[in-house]
Amino acid sequence: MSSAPGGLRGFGLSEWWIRVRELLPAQRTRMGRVSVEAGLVLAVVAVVLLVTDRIDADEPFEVHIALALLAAATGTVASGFGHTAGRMLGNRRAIWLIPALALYSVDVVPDTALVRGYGQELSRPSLGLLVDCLVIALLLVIAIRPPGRLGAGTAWSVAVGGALVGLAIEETGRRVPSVAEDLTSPAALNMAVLLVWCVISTAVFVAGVQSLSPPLWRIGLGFGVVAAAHVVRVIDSQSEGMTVAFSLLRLLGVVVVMLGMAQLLRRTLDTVITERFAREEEVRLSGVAAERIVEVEREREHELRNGLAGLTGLAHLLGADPEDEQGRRARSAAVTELRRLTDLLDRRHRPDPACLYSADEVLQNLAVLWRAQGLDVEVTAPHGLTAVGRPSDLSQVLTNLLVNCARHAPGSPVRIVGTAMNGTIVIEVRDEGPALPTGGRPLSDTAGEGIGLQLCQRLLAQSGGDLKVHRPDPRRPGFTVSVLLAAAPTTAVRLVPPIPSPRLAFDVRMAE
Amino acid sequence: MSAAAPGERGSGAQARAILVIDDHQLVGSSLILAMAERGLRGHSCRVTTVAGILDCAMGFPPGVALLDLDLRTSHDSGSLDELEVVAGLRARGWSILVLSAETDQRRIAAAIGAGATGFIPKSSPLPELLDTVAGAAAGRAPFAPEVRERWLQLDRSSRAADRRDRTRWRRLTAREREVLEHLAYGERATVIAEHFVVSLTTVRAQIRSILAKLDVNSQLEAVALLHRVRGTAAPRHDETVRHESPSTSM
Repeated sequence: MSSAPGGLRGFGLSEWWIRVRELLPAQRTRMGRVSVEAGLVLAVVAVVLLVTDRIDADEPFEVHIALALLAAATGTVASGFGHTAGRMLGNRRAIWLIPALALYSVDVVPDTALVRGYGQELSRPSLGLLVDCLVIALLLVIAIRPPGRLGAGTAWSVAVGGALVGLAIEETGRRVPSVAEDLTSPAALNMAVLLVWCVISTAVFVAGVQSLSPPLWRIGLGFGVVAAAHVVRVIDSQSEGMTVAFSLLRLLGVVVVMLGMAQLLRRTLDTVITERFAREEEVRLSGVAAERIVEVEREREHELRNGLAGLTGLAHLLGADPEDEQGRRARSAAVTELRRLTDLLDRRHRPDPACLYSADEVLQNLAVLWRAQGLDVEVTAPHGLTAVGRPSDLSQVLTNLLVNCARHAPGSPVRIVGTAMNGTIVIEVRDEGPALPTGGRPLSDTAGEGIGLQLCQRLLAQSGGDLKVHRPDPRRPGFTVSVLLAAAPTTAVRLVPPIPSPRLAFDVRMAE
Repeated sequence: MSAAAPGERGSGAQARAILVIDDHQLVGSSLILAMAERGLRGHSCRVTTVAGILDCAMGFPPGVALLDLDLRTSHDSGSLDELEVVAGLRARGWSILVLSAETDQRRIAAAIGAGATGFIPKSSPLPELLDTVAGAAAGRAPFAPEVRERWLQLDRSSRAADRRDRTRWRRLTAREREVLEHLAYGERATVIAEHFVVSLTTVRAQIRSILAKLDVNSQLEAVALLHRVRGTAAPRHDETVRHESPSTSM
């Protein structure tokens, strides 16, 4: 894998675009970008004012209507962009900017588009329009420093409330001619509100520059141009050229706002994609790490299985004199132990079904193994203790208990007593070692104790058994644990003669 | 399974050689000793190359081969495809019983699809295992026809899935395959970008392209597909990917 040529091969279009942009001097700093964008917009405004002042449009009303429709559509699209961006990442400024833009697009634009008919003079603006502009200005002010506790519901309530009030005033003026004059806005008041709007838009623009947020400064710039367009309309509402200029400037302002909203949406999407990528990367890294662990475990399990298979084969082959009871038991116990270990590996895949087995046989066989290791173990259990479950489970549990005895009561004799009573087989395992002052070794104390007493309890519970730790008796020092097994109903058992092949001892009695 | 009938001992089974192909000495030796107790003639083959195993088999009249499905090869001898062994032995008239600690059923199904007559897990009780071997040596099928058909069905579906994976894999460019290798090794995108001397954006674009071409929804799925195509679960950094020649380059 070569690095340099590979690097050139992987160089994408976006990389080239970034390099090209870096070469532009004005784009090197954030302020440079602001200056370029603001200068460009102002230049367009100047051109519009200069050009439209000299034109004599044949159909100014139609042009005005078309541009108003375009502005309304652009504003609606921008609202959609902003709303999506705001919802995706919970942008608090967008929460207040979107209702302002929506109010302007769906209420103010139609109002100012239909204010006069073709060939008629422009009437004085209604107080309702003034209310709309004030609400827009209010929403823009709040967007500069949005309050933490108020959410989108409040912002939309303010916008909808303003729109309804404005609508009510306009409708009243239309339906009641006697008060129509009183419900028009004086030119000075109109101009004052629009200038306030201009100032607030400038503040939004400055806030965007200060917080290094291109979307915000573009939105502020756009709203400023829209406000300026309305100022132009108030200054000169008679000439046809200025009517077109108003429409063009308003469209320009809304387009700039839309560009800001589009950039906000793009940034939001970039953030979402980056976060998703990071999460996915973490998942992948965890997956790869887990896969490595599994692979190591798989290797280990493979070797364990092969070793166990080989040892099991050898254990079966160990010659045993039929007269040598100890030898037979030792071989049987070794095979049982190997089977238990194999079951430990297999349990993850498919547990053996429960069966009837000779519990006393398992006890005796295990005792032989442990005596060989030097543990003083004595088993007292009547012949024919038939339990329900898996002999490997009992073997596992007893092995765990005997390991505990050897560890906590070294040198102490261990007595295992098996009895059957009321459908339950009770196997009491007792050593003479010290009991813990807390009242016996708790089941939760599993550190370093094989598979743990708790797991032993769960193992037994699968076949209706249980494990109980006795409370220490001050008159009789020592530690006692009882293993409870479900006893087989005597009628369900049919004794099967032992088969000559060296199968496990517990297989000699099987349920039908 | 019942114990072997007395009449089977040393009868027809005796005529057929039983070759134990296992790299685990303890397993092989104990099996051969156990078979001897049952009157079965077992021979051990611990060679771990395809040619070596087939040569070893040539030394005996065709009989029953007990094949470990996960023969560990030494670093010098390279990798070994046990399915080639199955096909080679089958072509030479051997009846193959897969005897393995392998738990991946698709692998076992592949061996049966390649011609193995049966499968016995190594964790089976020895008498059961010997009964099956004796039966195979006597010419009895280890599987009922419907059981064998289920294995073959599993093999067919595995092969179909493998073909789909390979089709998707071939859509990737050489560079995308390299990037996916690095992803499977557990490297972060930033490290991959440094390695290829490209930007993080470029690597992300490549990863998006990989996901789209492989028709998966996450990087983890893409890595899993790579493992399936390679036939290994744990990628190593120095491993060479066995892929087809790249269709295009970036």
